[in-house]
Amino acid sequence: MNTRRQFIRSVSTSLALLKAGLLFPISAFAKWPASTFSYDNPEDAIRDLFGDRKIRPTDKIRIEMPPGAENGAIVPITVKTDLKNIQSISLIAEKNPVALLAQFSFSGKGSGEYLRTRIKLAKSSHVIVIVAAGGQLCSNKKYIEVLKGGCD
Amino acid sequence: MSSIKIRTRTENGITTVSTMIRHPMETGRRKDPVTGEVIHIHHITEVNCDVNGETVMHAIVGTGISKNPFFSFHLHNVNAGDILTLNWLDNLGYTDSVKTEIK
Repeated sequence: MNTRRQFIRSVSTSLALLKAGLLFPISAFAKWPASTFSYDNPEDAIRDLFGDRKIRPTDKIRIEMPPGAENGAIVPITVKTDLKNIQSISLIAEKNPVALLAQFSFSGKGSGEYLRTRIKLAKSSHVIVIVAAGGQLCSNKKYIEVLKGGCD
Repeated sequence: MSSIKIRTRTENGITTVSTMIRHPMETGRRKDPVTGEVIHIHHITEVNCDVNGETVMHAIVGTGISKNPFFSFHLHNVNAGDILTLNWLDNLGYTDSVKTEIK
């Protein structure tokens, strides 16, 4: 199949690049923490991200998602928050094979008051949003019904 | 052709950056419908956005972000003529970058 051939080609290209030492040319990169993305249990992922720090539930984080998704492969999510000095926003799915979806860090002119993306969900579950702001951790969550899992 | 589409819009001092990246975001669990073979994991791991060389947003990304990832976020105090750079890196070491001037 074409995709298989493309895949083999892409792997051999990246192996060649790796040998040539051409990978990861941008110093800001290569910070991806593989272990943080290894947990299926949201509590484990949260502990890996934040240790035992206290996380306060708040309704100052507003999560906009459709109440249900026919296809869990593309679920739009918008996070709006009134919290000040936002350092990061973490998106976590309660019942996905990998709990942590992504973590967005903001600095300088970057403001975390608004974030929109599209996520994959395996099952009907909560989506947990944790915001680090002003040195504190706050969270909120929202339930969504998923008819067809989108995590394959 | 760039894998990145980017658009910025400024209103009342707030700039909204919207970007879409062409990427398969393979989880490593999906099977090829024809051959039945598992398709190797291939996903974006990091996205970085700079304004005039200063990082404003950096994301670590897993397989739970949908295919052809879309991200939108806000910037404050950005001026016309500022240069915004967005780049991504994936787990196979591929990377792409785009530069745009704030209007």
